Amino acid sequence: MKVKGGYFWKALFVDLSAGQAFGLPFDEEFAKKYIGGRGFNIKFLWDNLRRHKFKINPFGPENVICMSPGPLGGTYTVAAGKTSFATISPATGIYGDSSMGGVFGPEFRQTGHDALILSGRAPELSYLLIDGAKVRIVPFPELKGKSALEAEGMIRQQTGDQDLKIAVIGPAGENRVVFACVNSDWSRNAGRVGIGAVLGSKNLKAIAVRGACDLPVAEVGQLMEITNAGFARLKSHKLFSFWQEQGLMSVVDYVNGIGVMPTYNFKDAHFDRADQINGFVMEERYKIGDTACFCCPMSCGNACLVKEGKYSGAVCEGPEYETACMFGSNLGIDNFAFIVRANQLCDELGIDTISTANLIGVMIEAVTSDLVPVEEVDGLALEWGDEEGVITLMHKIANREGVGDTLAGGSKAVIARWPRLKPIISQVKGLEQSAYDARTAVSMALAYATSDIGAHHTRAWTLAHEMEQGLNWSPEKKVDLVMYHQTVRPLFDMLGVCRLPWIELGFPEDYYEQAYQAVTGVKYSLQDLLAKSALLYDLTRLIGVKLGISRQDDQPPDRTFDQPVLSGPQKGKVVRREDFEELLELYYRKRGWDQNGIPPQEREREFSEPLVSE
Amino acid sequence: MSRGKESMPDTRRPYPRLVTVKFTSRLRFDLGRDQEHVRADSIAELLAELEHRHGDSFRHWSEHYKIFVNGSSIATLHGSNTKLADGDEVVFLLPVAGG
Repeated sequence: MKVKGGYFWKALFVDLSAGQAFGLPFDEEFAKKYIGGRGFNIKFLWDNLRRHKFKINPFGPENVICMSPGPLGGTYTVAAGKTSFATISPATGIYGDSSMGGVFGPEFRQTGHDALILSGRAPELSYLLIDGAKVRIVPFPELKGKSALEAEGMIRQQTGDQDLKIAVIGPAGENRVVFACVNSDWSRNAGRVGIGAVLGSKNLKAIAVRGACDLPVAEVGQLMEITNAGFARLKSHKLFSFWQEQGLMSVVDYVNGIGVMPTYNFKDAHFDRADQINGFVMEERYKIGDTACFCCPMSCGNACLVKEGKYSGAVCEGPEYETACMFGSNLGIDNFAFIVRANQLCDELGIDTISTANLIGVMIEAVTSDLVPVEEVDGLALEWGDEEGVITLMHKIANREGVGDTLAGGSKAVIARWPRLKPIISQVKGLEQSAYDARTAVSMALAYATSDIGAHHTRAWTLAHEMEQGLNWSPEKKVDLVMYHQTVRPLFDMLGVCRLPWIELGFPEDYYEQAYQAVTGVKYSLQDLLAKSALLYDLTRLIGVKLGISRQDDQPPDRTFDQPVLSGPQKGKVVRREDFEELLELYYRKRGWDQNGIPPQEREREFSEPLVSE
Repeated sequence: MSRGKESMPDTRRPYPRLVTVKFTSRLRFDLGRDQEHVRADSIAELLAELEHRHGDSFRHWSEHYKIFVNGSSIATLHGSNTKLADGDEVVFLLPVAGG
């Protein structure tokens, strides 16, 4: 099957140390095997690891950041605004990725490249300018310490190009905070795993792109037809308008309603003041407009403004559910205006909202439970609901001041300094747990434990499925559910599209098969595409194993087993350790990994052909 | 007459169970309340009573709502045949699937 569209057939490789950039060609077999986006990124990372014999310092010039939007990204495909970033994460020391919405990815594709690989380290703080085929590393030391938004503005001013699309880091990225984000379009972020910190370690403040290439599409008429029908289908969904109104903020009521909303540093899973921080409060008092990513009618971004009171003038795109929960219930805060301000501050400083609030919650519990003396947190007498204390800590983290220097190193650094805090830190492999409690659904505990980047819900969000239908399912069925999620969800990141139409409004999976076929001309079925995605899960596991991961790391946060839910509909619930271990054993068997979670040796050979010779 | 009435055995059905119904999300908004008390012995009876009380405002979203009784989805219990007990908490939720 010939590939007739979807690719420009080259990745852009930039050696920041040498100040060189060149195109890396790839062929049809590569495109068909790795598809694009997350798939390309994983393969590039793997090749780089092999080149360095798996000795990589995440902050060393030898680490690479890979970015790729995927073959559907930027085309006339439903919600085709996603682009994926990957690197060896400074938070976990293993494979890390994150995808970002907005319009940056589509613009990058129009420069005529399918992927970007950044290696080395620029001699001084710079930004990368990709204007079509012209690539320049532009020294700009005046960007030092600037917030993400300020830096975007300064680059536009310097270039005189107001239409540049820019991915940028804040001061936290420059300071190598291990959960620093890459920010674009005001508040679209590639977060969680510290892509921003690795960019900072490379002295690269921003990537600015300008493109004018037409994207290669094999069957334009077919793509128009199926996408027009897709838009009509989405808009006819009864929940479509509600989704536009609240976006992910609608999750607050659901998650608190079923009793899985992290509260007081994950001790509890039900917040009795959740109705102060839900989507209706946002709609009625703070929302001033909708924002949307490229080619997406769902427009789930909620522009919010605080119009009065202490935080008057605070403005952000969002917050999304995870931010509202982590800066709200998880810190004992019921003030939505504060959440808007905290979200804005995270965007400006360039830090991940989930990890930041997770770790601050840990410190509040540590201080209020006398596990850490106040003197060791710079004299801050932290308390639940302590808005001032939270904001102070956020600045300290981003600037690595005092106790913030420890927190900026993530869970691993906190545990290294205070080993006694390990039982109260909700994390897996060094990545802080996101905003869904797992004590009621063992499949969610397995999802966190086996996620290839650590305790993030993106790979497998099985919580609702198990609680709504599968609490009595067999272990085998629960494992199948996790593996299915871990296969289908990453496929969206390979193609370059957002998963939310599928997740939230029941958009059919076969649309993506049709869109892939129309764009590339390759008649892969959905099952063919899922098989490619499944194969890549072995490759990210191989990366983890080569970097030291084994069964002992595949454990959910301690509180999943040890801390019964304090209140709400799931009061008293914990996961039984033996139930989890049974699922883990079965999971390894179904994946064809050994009892220690190691894929078979021959699997490595499937990925041995490097794009570039050694 | 009165003696005869007093001596008759009480054959009336006992009062249905009294449960607390919590409305979330759009349903809460449309009904203008976050909870109410309803007498019903099963989910089917409860749904009928809520339709009777609220009409189209309740029916409009009914195909989408997920119903939980004391933290358990009725899909994992006995669906609309799920029996209710005094003091049960029934929550109506719009489905979401996380980020």
